[in-house]
Amino acid sequence: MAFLDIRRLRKSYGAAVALGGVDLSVEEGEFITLLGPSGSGKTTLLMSIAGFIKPDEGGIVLAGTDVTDLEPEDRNFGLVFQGYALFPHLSVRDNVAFPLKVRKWEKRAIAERVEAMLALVGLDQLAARKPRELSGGQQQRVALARALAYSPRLLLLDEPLSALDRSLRETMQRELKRLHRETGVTFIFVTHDQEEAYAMSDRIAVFQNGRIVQIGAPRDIYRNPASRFVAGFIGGNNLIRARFSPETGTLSLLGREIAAPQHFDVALHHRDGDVSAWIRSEDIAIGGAEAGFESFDVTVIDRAFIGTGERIAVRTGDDEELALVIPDGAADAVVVGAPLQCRVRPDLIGFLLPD
Amino acid sequence: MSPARRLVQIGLPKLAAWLLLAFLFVPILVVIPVSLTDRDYLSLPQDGVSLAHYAALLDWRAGWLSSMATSLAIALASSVLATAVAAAYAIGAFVYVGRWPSLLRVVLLSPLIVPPIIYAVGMVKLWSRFGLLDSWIGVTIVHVMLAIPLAVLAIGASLSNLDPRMVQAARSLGARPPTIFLRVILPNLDSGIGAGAILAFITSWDEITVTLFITGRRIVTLPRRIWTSIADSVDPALAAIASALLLATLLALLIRLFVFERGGSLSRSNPKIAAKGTSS
Repeated sequence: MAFLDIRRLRKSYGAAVALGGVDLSVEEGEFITLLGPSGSGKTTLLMSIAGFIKPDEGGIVLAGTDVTDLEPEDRNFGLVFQGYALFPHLSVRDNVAFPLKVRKWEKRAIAERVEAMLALVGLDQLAARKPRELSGGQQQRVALARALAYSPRLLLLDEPLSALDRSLRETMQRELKRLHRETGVTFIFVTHDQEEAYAMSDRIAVFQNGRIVQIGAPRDIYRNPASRFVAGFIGGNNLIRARFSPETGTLSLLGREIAAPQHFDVALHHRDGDVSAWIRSEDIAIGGAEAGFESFDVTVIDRAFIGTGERIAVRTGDDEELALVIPDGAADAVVVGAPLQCRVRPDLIGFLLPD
Repeated sequence: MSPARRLVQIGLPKLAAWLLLAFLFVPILVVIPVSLTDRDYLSLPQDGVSLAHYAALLDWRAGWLSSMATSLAIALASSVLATAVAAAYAIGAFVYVGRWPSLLRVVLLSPLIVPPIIYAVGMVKLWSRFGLLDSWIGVTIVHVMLAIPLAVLAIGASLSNLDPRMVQAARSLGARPPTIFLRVILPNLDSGIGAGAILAFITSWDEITVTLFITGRRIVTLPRRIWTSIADSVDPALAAIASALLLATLLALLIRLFVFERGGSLSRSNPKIAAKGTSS
């Protein structure tokens, strides 16, 4: 049995199903991310784990103990919000001391732990400040120190970085990974940002309509999306239509007719001939056919500088729109409105069941 | 900018602002010379200035002092009770979202909507049945009810600045309801509760409509005595008491300006300096 076991959790609000029977097992010390668009149920699951939402059905078991009916204040979990929810009338030190005072720790033990926690998040110089005197990143650190001060069994994070600007977000991602490493606490992190999920998680659970549709390591999810939805949501993928002809064993896609690659499972993917396929943006290159590649003709509809390179939008002969990312400088010959030849390795094209 | 344009764009609005201020203030300031009149009817001083009417205020037999004491006692009691009820309601509504808080809000705010004269007629009927006419308790209860809406609005306004997830955060940190109430919510409401208490005090202090109906000989609040005094005679003591109240208000505002605002603005301007130095 895993450290945290969530079994068949259901929650509905009238006709709206927020959680449609969610199963999830989390190992002790793991960093797991609940990833999904808004309204997909990821925050509902987090709040159920925290105890603020009572599930209609199912149970939550932590280290062999059923916690489903425990009040939030009895669960001993840490919780960090997007808005930090610091106590504005208390100094940084008193914010971090709050959960320890509630637990009636000795005065000296509180002082020691608060010092240690503030040192851990790098705020020891600002202990006397009020929250409103801190920047967003600093407030976030206070919220983390406060939620970790009493060595909770779980740390639940509800989109804690989405209010920060981009560069600060990356700093805080490293910070969160370091805290996770140094404290050994199990982190459950909710986000709608797939890059954030990739950067930090041991495993990602992808949510769609109140269910987990895929769970796995970031690389596995990126390389083998389980459905059209996942392939689209995790980013960087072009979703296209293709058609399989059993008589010739060929696929028509991208305005071409090509031999079905080896990993194309006829029995699995072939339904009435229509097939969903995906190609990652970085797997499409500009240029004519080479050994191991298939080439196809497109029309350029846009090019955009994105710093590390250029993102080019093209339209294929069968009227699909593709995005490709190429290194800066390689796009000099690309003219918006002009024809262009692209190539792709057929073994890098993924095939999916239609949703 | 040409002088003419300057006059139209800056001079005229300025003039309008000063005229508006004068419109608001001059009628109030007129009572001061009238209170210093040397005649014994309402008039401007003619042969000289006199403090006789202020002296009359301080004469216990004239009844002004006892009325002030009555009004002060009722206003203080009403303020404390109304603020307590309003704070309890506002915090409850803040923590428990749902249909009941908004229904209850309509009931609590109804004294603002119902015309006081209609309220007064109803209270006379009710209090005569309970034997509470012309009693301390009867007047205080009515003043509490009339003061609750303003206290609810003041406290509600300061609660709306609080992050409702602070309560969730406190619970996740292990705090139980009494701790959350005393150590998380109340400390953040001091300004709202203060404002609510002052508004409740003022409501009771100058309440006249309902008080006229439900009091008689025993309870004579200050507004009631002023009212009676106007009806009976035009005693310049009226102007004296108005001036005294005006001065008291002015004094309170000045104290607030110099004591509280100065302290407040210091602690408010600090974070800007601090944030500049340390933002990461």
